[in-house]
Amino acid sequence: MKDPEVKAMIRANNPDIDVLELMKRVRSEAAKIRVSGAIEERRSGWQDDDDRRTARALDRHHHISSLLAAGEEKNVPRKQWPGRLRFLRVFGPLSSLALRIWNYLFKEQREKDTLILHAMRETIAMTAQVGDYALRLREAHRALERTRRDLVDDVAALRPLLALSERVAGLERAHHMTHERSLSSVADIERLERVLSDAGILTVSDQSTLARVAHAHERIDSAERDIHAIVARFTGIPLLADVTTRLAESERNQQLIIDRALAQALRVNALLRAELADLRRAFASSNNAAATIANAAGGDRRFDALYMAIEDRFRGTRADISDRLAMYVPLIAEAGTVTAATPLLDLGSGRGDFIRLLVEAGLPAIGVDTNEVAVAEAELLGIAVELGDIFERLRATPTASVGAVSAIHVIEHLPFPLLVELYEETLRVLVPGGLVMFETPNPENVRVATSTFYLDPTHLHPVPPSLAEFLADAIGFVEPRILRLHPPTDVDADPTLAGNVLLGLLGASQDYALVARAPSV
Amino acid sequence: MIARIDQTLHTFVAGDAVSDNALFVRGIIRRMGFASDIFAHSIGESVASEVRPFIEWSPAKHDAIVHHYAIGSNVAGRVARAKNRSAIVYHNVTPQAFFRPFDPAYADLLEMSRAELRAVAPAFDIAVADSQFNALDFEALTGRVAEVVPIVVDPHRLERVPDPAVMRRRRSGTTWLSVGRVVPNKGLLRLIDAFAAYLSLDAGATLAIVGRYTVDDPYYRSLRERVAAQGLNGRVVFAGGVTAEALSAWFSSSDVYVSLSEHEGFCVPLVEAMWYDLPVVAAASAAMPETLGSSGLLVEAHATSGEIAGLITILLGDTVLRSRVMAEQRERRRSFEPAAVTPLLEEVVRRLSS
Repeated sequence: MKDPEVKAMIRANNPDIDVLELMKRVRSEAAKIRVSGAIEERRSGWQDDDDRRTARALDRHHHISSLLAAGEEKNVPRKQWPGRLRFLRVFGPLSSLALRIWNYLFKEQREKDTLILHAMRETIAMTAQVGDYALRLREAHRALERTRRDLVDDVAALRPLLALSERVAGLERAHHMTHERSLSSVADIERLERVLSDAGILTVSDQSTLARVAHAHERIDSAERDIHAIVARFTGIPLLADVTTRLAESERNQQLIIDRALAQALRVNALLRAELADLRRAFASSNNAAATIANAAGGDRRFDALYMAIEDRFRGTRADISDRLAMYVPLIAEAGTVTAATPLLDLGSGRGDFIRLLVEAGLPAIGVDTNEVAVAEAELLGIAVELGDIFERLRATPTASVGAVSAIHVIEHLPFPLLVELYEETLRVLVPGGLVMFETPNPENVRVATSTFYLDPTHLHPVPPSLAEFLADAIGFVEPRILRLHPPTDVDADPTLAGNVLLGLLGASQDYALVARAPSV
Repeated sequence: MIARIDQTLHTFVAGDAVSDNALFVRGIIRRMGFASDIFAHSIGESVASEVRPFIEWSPAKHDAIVHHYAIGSNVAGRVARAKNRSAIVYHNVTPQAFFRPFDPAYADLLEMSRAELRAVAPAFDIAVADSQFNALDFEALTGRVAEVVPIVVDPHRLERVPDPAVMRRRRSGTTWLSVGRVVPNKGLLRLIDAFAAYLSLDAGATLAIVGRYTVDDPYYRSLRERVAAQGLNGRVVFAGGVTAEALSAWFSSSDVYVSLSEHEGFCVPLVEAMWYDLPVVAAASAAMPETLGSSGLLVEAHATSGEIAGLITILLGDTVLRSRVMAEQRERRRSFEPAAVTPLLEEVVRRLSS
């Protein structure tokens, strides 16, 4: 099918003239033309015979109106005798009287004619509108058709990206295989250690080092070769200890590299999926037939990967976060409401750092998060985080079925009605005496309130501690208290009064946690 | 033995292609030694001395007749009923659809003309058409094959002193010229639109439409309305029917000849423009591609006004392109010179008289 634009408008009748080259020049010349008036716009849009037929019909309106105009001109009382009767002029007043009688006789006819002319004008106006509408309709139809073709092209162009996505999946599989292989290598190391231990050289193996060894995925073989080489050159205990430390260090580096590569791959994958979903939606909205595809596509996930990148950049390393979260563990343990039957529900759990910490401490916990990338990362680390909306999850949770609810850096993302719903739903799902923990940036610190709070583009507004506490009380929690966390490390005490005031503004803790309990029946 | 070969046609007026052609043919017939007159039903005042009224026509048994067919009339019927040896020269009958919205009565006449042609064609011994396009039209209509003898365009007849009144008309810019009766098949609405687009590139330009019109003709009125709607008042000149001197002046003082006509059986003004060395831009419709051959520039039906305007801008500004167009035009125009056409006509006359 040839594009109408590609069709040459000049016939190649002269072999000395390069029509294609001339066409290019004509187009650039034509592009300079200021199109004036609707007639030309319409004409330049003509693409097929239907258009030309409609346009010709529209042209005819000019002709018909000119016919009518001619009719109207003639449809007036006569002031003089026509052509051959003109000699009647010589009768002077008698002639004018006759003319008047003539006009009187034909008055009714004139009135009828006027009505008919008027009716015809109306009819013409109406048909003109219909013709115009037909042209517009066809233009719209063509525009739609073009969009549809573009989309089909876009989807075709996306295919290589899908292939890339498949390669990422392949990479994931390869990673899993490496992981398996590293586990067997760990077994080898354990065997080696047993041998060393039997020989009385190494009495106790370092559990944490082994745990980290278990997570090494790549180049473990080379590390093993190092060990073999060192063992071969082994002369005394101090040297072996040194080797173990170095081995652990190298493993940590490997872990880091793999984690980063994997996170990157996952983000690319999520971006691709989001783009595909977008395209499908656009395609669907332009074409009813594709509506089913749109249903199959997910929600707006475009920013998931970007959001994770922002979190990585500004919220600190995983180790930092784990350290900060560690303070909750004894609180939860003390409350004693978290059991296998009534686990802790962590809302907005991200990569599941908190869940891991709790599970390691023997506290059953479930996470839920809407970020696909975060959930995929958690899944890869073997942490139970569900993908979904926290409110949907809460609503689906039976009353009094959860031992504790935590929402670390969640409430600052919520508009007020949802914030209230979060409190209410939390109160409903908690077992009597169950613990609630909402951590959020502390606007008492001036730097937080004015700057760092907004590092996260999805933050709505800060929630002051007193409001968080008041809401807990108002909605029915008991023993609400505010734990001020993470004081800044770069603000020193100053003995002067002004200094103390500044210290109050700048030195206030950067985050706080609202901790409260459901009433115990 | 045939001693007289007369020509018959419905209308004979000055400056009309068919009438001029009949005059030329009469010259050839007379030079070949036959007596020859032209009989017409309707005769223009200025040329009355050249032609005899059709009512005087009463052929003797051995007279031969050449009938020029451009519109139906009692003339064709009478010629066909006569038992004389005869030839028909088909000059095309415009399809009625062009006229239907403007002049239903004329459209009816055109429709009847084509029907009449179908009825009378078998009565003629020889069939001639003045273009391949017309020959095909004739064959489609009547089933008869016509031989092609082009219309002659005699450059000497164009050698008129241009009318000073027209030459004096104030013109500071480019002039587009289009010559021909103002009738609905001439594509003048499209021409006005293309010219409107061109004006945005060359604000001082003029479009001259030279050809007969009547003020209360609906087609003419629709053109005026389009001129007003495009805001071209004062930039488009309807010169009306003009004398040969004035026509010469229009050709001499214009820059480009443009015809976007939708239906032409031959289009003599294209060849005339070639003799005045005006570059020709024409729609690639009906007989015009055939008449232009490899000369001029032909624009397709789907060319937009902007494209036509752009093409003409380039044609006027690019000396290389123009010289290529002109070289072909100078070659092409010679095909319609008396020297080229006369032998063909003589051959027809010879066969008619034998």
